[in-house]
Amino acid sequence: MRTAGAAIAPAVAFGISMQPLSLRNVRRPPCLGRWAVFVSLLALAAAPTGESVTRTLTTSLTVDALPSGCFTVTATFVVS
Amino acid sequence: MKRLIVGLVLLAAPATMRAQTCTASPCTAANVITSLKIKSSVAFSAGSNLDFGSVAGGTTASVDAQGTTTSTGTPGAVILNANQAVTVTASFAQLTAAGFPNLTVSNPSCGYSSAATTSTTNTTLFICSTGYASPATGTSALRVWLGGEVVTAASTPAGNYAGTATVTGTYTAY
Repeated sequence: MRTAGAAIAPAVAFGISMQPLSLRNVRRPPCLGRWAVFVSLLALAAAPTGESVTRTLTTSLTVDALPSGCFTVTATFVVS
Repeated sequence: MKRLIVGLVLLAAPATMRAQTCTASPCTAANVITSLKIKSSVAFSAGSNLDFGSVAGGTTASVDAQGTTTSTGTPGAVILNANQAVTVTASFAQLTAAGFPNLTVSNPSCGYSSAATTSTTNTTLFICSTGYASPATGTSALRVWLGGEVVTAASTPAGNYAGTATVTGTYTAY
């Protein structure tokens, strides 16, 4: 049988007579853990979720060729 | 444990399931809560591609979401139909041509209009990266217009460059 020795020690120090306390007699707290998980899961299922949609379009640009090659220059000379 | 379960069931039960005593006639029942979920319907459809136009090397090609251009370009567009609020953002990839240096899109320009054409009067500009939040009541054929600038150097090789722009709509799914 396990006893709550740590809790009794101060009482003994003050000369107070106490019977050993059986842990079997200590009422366990209600098992709320599983309920909390269940309720949390329910809340998660009901909550809206974030979504996204995408659309891709193409982009284009033309870089023109610079003028190059031979140029024809026409000149007119007037002789008087 | 059993008492706890019974207690939780009683708490979760609607008021109508509990005993109700009427002291006078007519006896009005407690309100019955009704509910309905309208599912999300959000979609983009194709509008037009973004053409930055044609420029000589060393100049900047520019076309904004309102259609103003210095390089005979045309803004791109996608069409949004949604029955709820949607935050629309846009991003631009570099333009590429095989074997040539990539060209970056600077000063991205975004806008929206309910009209099928874009202009300075019917298109409202927004910041592409921050986005535009459409009305919670929904949108029908909302045009999202895209533009930007491409800076070229005199050494930029002549050719046809191509890239992509991606429009993203973020919303809460019901």
